[in-house]
Amino acid sequence: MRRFLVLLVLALTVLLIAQVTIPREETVYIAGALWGPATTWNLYAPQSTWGTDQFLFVSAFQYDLGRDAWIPFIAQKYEFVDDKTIRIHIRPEAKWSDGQPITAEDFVYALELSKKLGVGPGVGWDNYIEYVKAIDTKVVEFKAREDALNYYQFLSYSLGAQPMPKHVYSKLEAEGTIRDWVNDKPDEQVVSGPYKLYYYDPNIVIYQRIDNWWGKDIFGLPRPKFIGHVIYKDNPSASLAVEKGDVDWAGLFIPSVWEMWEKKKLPIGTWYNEKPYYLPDGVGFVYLNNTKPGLSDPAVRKAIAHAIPYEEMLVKAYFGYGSQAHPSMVIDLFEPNKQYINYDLARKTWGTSDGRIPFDLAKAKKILDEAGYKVGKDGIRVGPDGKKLGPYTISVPYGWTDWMMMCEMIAENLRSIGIDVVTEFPDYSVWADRMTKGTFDIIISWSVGPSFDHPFNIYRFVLDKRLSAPVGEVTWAGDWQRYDNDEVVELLDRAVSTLDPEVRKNAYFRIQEIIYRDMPSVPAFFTAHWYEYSTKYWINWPNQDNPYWFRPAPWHVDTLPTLFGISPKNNPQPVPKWIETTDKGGMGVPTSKVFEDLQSAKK
Amino acid sequence: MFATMIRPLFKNKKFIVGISIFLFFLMLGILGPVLYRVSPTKMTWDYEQPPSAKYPLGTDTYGRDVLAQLLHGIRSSLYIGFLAAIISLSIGTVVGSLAAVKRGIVDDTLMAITNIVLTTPSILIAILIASYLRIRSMEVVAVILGLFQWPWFARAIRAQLMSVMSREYVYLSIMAGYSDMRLVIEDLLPTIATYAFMSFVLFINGGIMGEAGLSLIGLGPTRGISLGLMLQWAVLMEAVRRGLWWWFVPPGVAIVALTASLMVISTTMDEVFNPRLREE
Amino acid sequence: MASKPLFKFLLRRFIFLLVTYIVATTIVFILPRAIPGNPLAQLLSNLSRLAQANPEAIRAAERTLMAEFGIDKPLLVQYVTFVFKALRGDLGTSISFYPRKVIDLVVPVIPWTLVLLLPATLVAWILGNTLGAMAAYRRNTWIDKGVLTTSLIVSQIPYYWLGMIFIFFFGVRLGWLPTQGAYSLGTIPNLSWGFFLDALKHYVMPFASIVISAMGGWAIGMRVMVVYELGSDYSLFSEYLGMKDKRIFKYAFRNSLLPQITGLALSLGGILGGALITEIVFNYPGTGFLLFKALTTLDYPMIQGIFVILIASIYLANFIVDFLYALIDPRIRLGQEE
Repeated sequence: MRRFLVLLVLALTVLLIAQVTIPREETVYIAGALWGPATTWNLYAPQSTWGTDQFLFVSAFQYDLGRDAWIPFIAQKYEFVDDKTIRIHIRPEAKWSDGQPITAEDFVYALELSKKLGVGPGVGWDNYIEYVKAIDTKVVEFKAREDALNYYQFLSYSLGAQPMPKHVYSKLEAEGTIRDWVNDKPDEQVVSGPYKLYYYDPNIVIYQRIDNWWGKDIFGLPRPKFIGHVIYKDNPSASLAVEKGDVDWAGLFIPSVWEMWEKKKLPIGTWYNEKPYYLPDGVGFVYLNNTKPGLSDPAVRKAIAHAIPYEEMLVKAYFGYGSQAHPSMVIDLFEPNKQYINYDLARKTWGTSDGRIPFDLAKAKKILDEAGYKVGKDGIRVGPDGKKLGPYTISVPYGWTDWMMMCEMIAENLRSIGIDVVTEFPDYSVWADRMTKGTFDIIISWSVGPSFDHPFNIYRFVLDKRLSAPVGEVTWAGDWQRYDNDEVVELLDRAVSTLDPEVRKNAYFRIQEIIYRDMPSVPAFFTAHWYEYSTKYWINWPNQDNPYWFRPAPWHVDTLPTLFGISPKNNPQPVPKWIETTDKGGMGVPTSKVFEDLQSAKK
Repeated sequence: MFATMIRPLFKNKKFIVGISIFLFFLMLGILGPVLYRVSPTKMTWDYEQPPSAKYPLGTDTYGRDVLAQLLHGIRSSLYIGFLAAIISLSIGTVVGSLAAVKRGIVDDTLMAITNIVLTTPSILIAILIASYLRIRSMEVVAVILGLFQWPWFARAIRAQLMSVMSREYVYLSIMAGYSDMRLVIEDLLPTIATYAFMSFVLFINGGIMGEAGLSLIGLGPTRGISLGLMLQWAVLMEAVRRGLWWWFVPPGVAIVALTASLMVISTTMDEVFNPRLREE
Repeated sequence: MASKPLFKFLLRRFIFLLVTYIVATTIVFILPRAIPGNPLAQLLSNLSRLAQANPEAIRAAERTLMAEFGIDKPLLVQYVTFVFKALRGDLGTSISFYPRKVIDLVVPVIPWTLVLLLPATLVAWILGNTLGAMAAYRRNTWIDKGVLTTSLIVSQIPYYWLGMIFIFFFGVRLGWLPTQGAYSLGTIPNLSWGFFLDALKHYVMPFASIVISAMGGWAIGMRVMVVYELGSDYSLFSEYLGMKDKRIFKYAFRNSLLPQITGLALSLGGILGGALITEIVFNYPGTGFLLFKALTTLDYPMIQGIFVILIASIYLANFIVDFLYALIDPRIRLGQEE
C-alpha cells in the first residue's frame, strides 16, 4: 500500500513537471518524405523508414549530382589495381555509434548478406561484381565481372557501398531474425551516420544528432540537433502546415507554389524563384503499348508525339513545374548531359531549334495520311489493314489530378487527329497492374532521373528488352511498352563496357537515331524534384542563388549534405568547404577523374 | 381510397414543408444540369475562386465550377439513393413475404440469412467490397449500399404478413386454392404498402448518406460527380482548413436538406397512418 | 439461478454469433484474393521509384516479397495459415508498412479512438435520452415540438460535415481551437498538465461534433418509445386507476430505456470503427484513420486485421446484449422464448 502511495505521488510530480517538447529552434521539421507510420530502421527490408538510408547509414562515397563528383565519406580514397579492380580505403576515424571501428569486414558482410537475403543495401551487386573481399581491416577490394562488364554498375556498387555493423547483424543472422528486426530502440541502434532515432509514434518520427559523431573533425556536424517528420494525412494537409510555418523543409507538390511568397508574403522558397520553380527529377513518359494494333505502327506513335500539347499541358495541369523533355530522352537541363545529345540529328528530324518535338496537329495528320490511315465517317481513322485506330484508353491512377488533367488534354488532341482515345482513371493498383503487365493502351508514367550513369540509365529503363516480360507477366524493372530491339541491347552493352568516351557517345547517338525512327514511347516532360524550404527558423538553404547541393529534397537518398549547409536563423554559418570538388579545395572527386584513373590503371 | 389516405397528409404542416423542400431539391437535381449548362468536370485556370457573377458558387482547386458540381451531385446522389432503395425494397419484400408465405424450412433459412446480414456490421462489409472493386460506377455503389439495408425491413414485412395471414379473408383465399403468387399480390401486398413506402423513403436516405460516407473514405464512384465526391475532394484539398467555405458547405447543405426532408416526410406519414401516434 | 434454459439460450446465441463471425472473417479473407490485381503493387512501385538505377534490386525484391506474403501458395493453405495465426493474435504483416506486424500498428491507436468515442457516445446517449423523455412527457408543448424538429434535422447532419463546419468556424474563422490532430505537432505524448491541456483543446471539436449529431437520433427514439408506452394498455389502465401522471411516466420511461440500452451496447461495440470519417476530417490518430490509410494504400493484410478486430468487438457487444437480455427477460430465463 505504501509503495502504491509513493508511486502515486511520484506519478503526480512527473505529471506536473515533465512537458517533453523538443526545442523548436534546434529542430528542422519536415514534410513530404513519410506518409504513414514508420516501418523499420533495418535496411534489410524492401522499404525502410525514411531517414534510415538518408541519415543513419552513410556510404563509402557520397555522390554529388550537381558537380558530378564523389565525396569520400566513410572512404578516405579509392585506388584502382587494374581497370577492373578497385580498392576502397576506409577512414581510420570511421566508427560505428557504439565505438566499434568500421572495417572492411563490415563492407563485405553487408553485401554478402544482401545477396543471401535477396534484399538490402547494394542488392543485385553480384550481377556485375565478381567478388568483394577484405584486403586488410581498412581496405576492401571489388572486382568487376568480365562476363558482364558494366563500368557504371561497377563504380556505383563499389563507390556507393554501405557498410553494415557485422557485430550487430551476425547475432541476428544466427537467430534467423534479420527480416523481422525493426531496430526501433534508440539505445540499441548502431549507425555510421550523424543521426539516430530519438523518438517515434504513429504521428511523428524524430532523429537526434550524435554530437560525438566520428566525422565531426572532418566534416563538422550537421546543423540541426533534431530532425522531426510529422506524419501528415496527405499532400494538402502537409502543404497547409508548410503555409502555417510548422514545416521548415518539405518535398511536396504544392499547387501554385509561387503564391506562398508572391501573394501571401511567406518566408518560403523553392529552388528557382520563377518558372519552373523546381529542379528536374526525371522524365515523365507517355508510354504507348507497342503490342497493341495501331500503336504498334511507328507512324502512329510519331503522329501521337506531334499531337501532345506539351506547352499548354504543362502550364495548365502541372503549374509550369516542368518543361518539355527532349526526344533523345536525355535530361538536358544539366549542362554535362548536353554532350550526349546529337543536336544536329534532333534539329534535322524534328525541325525545331533545340530539336524538341513540336506540337503540330497538321503534321500529325499528314504523317497518318501518308501512312495510309484514312478518316472514316465517324471521324476515326482506319488503317490500310482495315482496322480502326481505337478505341484506346489513356489512363493514370484516380486522384493523381495533375496527370489526370494531362490525360484529358492529350485525349482531346488525339481525337482531333482521328485517333479514338478516351480517358480512364482506375484505382492505383489496377493501373499499376496494367502498366507492369503490358496490357495498357496509353499511360502517363515515370521513368528514371538524373544520375552519374545518365543517359545510360534511362535508355536501359525504357528500351532494354531484357528488363521486360511477355505481355501478361509482371515486370517493374522497365520497358513497360514492350519495345523489342536487339540492336539497342547491343548498343547499351557497348556503352557501358568501354572506357573510351567517343565509343560511348557514338553508341548513344546511334540509339537516338533508332528512337527517332521508332518512337517507342514519347518522352513528354521533366517531372519536378519537389523541394520547399522556410526561412523562419533555418536559413542558407540550397537554391538557385546558393547552389551548393543539387538533391535538396528531404526524401532523396542523397540529401544528407543539405543538413551540413543550412544554418539556424540567429547564427548564420558558412557552407562547409568539403562539399566542393578537389580543384576548388573540396573533397569531391569528379566522375571524369574517376574514369581517367580507371583508364590509366588499364594494363 | 387513395385520395382518402393522402388527404390527411396535406393537412399536416410538417409534411408540406418536408415535401416542398424535397421536391425543390429533386427539381434542382433533375432540371438544374439542364438549365445550368456548365460542365462539372471541366478544369479551368480560374481555381479556388470565391462566388462571383461568373461562378455563382465559386470554383475548386482545379477550376471546376462548384454550382455545376452541386447540381450534378444532387442528381447522382438522388439516383444512387433511389437505386439503392429499390434494391433494398425488392430484396426485403421478396425475402420477407417468401418467409411468411412459405414458412417451414424456407422461413428458417431466409431468417437465418437475414439475421446474419443484420448482425454483420454492414457498413464495414460495404467498405470491404467497395475497396476491392477498383472501378466503381454509380450503379455499383448503389448495389453495394442496397445489399445491406434490407434485413430489418424483411423482418418487419414477415411479421406484418404473418399477422395479416392469420386473418380470415386470407384463409379463405388459401382455401379457394389461390397460388402463392396471387395470394401475395392480391391480398397481402396492399396491407404493407404504406409501411413499404415509408421504408422506401428511409432507404433513399440510407443510400444518400451511405454514398457520402463511402466517398469520403475514397470508395465512392470512380466516375462522375456526387455530393459525397464533392465533400471528399474538399477534404482532400483541405478546403476546410483553408477556409474555402463555398466548396464544402453547399454539398453538406444539400445532403442535410434532402435527408432531413425525407425524414420529416416519413415521420409525419408514420404519425398520420399510425393511430397511436396520431395527434389528438 | 443460472437455469438450464438460460444456458441453452446463451449457447445458441453464442454459436450463432460464432458462425456469423466465421462467415464475416471468411468474406474478409476471400475478397482480396477473389479479385485479380497485385496486392504488392504499391510496395513494388515505391521500390521502382526509389531504386530506379537498379533494376536488379527490383527483380530480387519482387521474388522475395511474393514468397514472403505467401501469395504463391494454394488458397486453402493461405486460409488455414490466416485462421491459425489470427487465433494466436498474429494478424499478419502489413504490406505498406512492411515488415511491421498489423497488430503492432493497430494496438497503439486504439486508445485514441476509445478516448474520443467512449465519452462521446455515452454523453450523447444520456443527453439524447433525457431530451427525448422530456419531450414525450411534455407532449405537444413547444418543448416537444422544439426537441423533435431540432432532433430530426440534427440527426440528419452527417457528423463529419458538422465537424467540418466546426473546424471552419471555430478553428479557421475565430481561431479559438486547433484544427487538427490529437495534440500539437512536435510534442511527445506524456503525462503532464501541459500535454493534457493541449490534448483537451484538440479534443473539444471532434467530441462535440459526434455528441451533437448522435444526440438527435437517441432523442427521437426515446420520445417515440415513451409515447408508445404512455399509450399502451397498462398506462391507460393505470390512468383509469387514478395513478399520478408522474408515476406512470416513470414506468413508461423505465420500460423505454431497455431498448435504448441495447442500442447503446451495440453502438459501443461499433466504436472502434465508428467515427471513421471524423478521424479523417480531424486528422485524429485513431483506428479509423489507420483503416483509411490501409484502404487508400490497399494494404490488404492491414484491412483484414482491422476488420477482424472490429467485427469481433461488434459481436462481443451483441453477445453481451443477449446476455443482459437473458438476465432481465423472464421468458428467456424460464425457457419460454417464442
